[in-house]
Amino acid sequence: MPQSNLAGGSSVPLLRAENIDVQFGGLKAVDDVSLDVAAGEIVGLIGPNGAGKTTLFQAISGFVKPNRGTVWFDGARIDGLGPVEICRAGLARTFQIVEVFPTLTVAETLTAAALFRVKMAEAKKVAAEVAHLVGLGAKQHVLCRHLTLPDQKALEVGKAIATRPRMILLDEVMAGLRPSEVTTVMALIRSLRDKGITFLLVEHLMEVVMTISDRVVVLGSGRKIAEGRPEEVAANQQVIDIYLGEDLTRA
Amino acid sequence: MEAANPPARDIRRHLPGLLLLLAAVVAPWFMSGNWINILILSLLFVFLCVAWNIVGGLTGEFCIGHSLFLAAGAYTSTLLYIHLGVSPWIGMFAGGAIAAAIGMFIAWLSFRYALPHLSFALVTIALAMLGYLAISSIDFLGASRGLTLPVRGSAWYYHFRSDLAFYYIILAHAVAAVLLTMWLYRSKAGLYFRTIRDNERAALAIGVPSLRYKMLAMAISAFMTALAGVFYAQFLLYVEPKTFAGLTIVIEIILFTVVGGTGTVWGPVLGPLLLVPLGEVLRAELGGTAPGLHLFVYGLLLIAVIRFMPGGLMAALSKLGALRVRPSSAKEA
Repeated sequence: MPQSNLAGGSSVPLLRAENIDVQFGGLKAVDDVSLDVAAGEIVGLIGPNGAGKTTLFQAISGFVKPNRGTVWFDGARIDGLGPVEICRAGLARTFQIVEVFPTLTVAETLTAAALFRVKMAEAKKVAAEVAHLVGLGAKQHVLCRHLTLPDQKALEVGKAIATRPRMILLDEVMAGLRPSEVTTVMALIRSLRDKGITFLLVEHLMEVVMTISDRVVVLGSGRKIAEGRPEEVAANQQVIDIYLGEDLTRA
Repeated sequence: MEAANPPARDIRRHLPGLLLLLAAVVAPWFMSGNWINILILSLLFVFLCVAWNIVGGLTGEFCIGHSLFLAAGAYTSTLLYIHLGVSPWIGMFAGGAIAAAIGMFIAWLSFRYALPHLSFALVTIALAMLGYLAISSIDFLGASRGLTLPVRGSAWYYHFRSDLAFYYIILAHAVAAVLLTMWLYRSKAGLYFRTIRDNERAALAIGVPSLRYKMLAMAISAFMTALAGVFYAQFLLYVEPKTFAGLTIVIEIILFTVVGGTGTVWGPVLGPLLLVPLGEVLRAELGGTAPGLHLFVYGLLLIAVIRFMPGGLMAALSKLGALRVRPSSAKEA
């Protein structure tokens, strides 16, 4: 259950994005979007295809420079920093389309992800722990290119966890998973939140977002059109119009 | 990972390498002068290929500019030797440092603007050709005539009467380079190199500062290549642009490495050990009637390897090994 003081946003948020614009040529992919995520929160980011969700992720994680706006993380400004600095500051991300290291093993991948914080011996321990955490304990010595898609998705989350972040941006980690696998990933996210990791997640599966999120932010055509608790957002007429035909209350 | 292996298995794993080393140590005792020369050339290429492999294989940056580093080593040590009487044993570190600086600059210049792979290859070719032209026209560097090294005839000046000494020196270089790669492979830097090679976006997302590590890979590789340049200059007692700054040697380095297996520890060892003697024999046997035939054979081999075993000899061997050692391979998920 969301704590009311977090959802209320009275304290200083862990992540604060203010008036973000991202422009590709003549297209404004993200248009004046502001967003707060409090420490310990799980915030869902939804919206139809092309709404700018992934682009907003790219801007927050430093892979794309916003044309306007500021991003604060953990009290420091991070807009203008590169992806490496942002990751090292404790804000990790996953990729919508899995980005594995084909010739590295699972263990090597997770070790590499842990290495900027700790020495090799310790990083290997972290890697083994994380591998078990995301269900890849038995596949530590398998090359990433030989993993199945669900396993690659799990590794995608594992890479983010192994960097020991304070917050993780999850970009559609559950797309393409079977319902049982979705349940597993959701349980994992909840348990990580209980360990103090904050989440901002993009997900197409509406039931997942509505179930797991403390708050939901809705984007449409690059703009923020609604924000609030899942049940509030689901009742919002503008949101219903966008998702015409989808039953948002099913969750 | 590897630490979990019992020692017995470790020894078995390293057995082929140790046998190869033993063979290399005793080989010259059973050979005539001409064959020792061929072996020296082979080991020089082993060293060059292992050095190139750190950038081209481990880090996955297709650098064609290694002639610059070879020349930087050869010319720096030679000039220091000729003009200041500095021993090449000391000059080689100066040459290595200059080559490393050039290498880091090239990497910085290319990658800070996030040049794609092909552009990097082209930039390094262009710089290599510029270097060749510059050396060929600067009088102080001997221009196209080259520089002849004065013979002081003592070990202190990196000069030896017997080819055997040169043989063991280049063998030591090659062994050190292989050991360095083996260590690098499992080290933090090596792991970072491999993440960059495999997927740079993903590497950035796990906090790998790719520009810094690409520069590091270039620095290590360039330094080693410069040492090879110093060795070759001392062996030939003559430095000139075609051999030391031309593109031919870079193409040979890349070809041998690709045939052996790019990105592996042993590929760049096997490639030149097979191809250099083959090329030399062909040149000796057919040089009179069909000059350049060895290049033709190299070309055919390259095509065959790319077509039939894209990972090189090492990939083919490890496939065989996997079949033999682990019938029910645990690598497949």
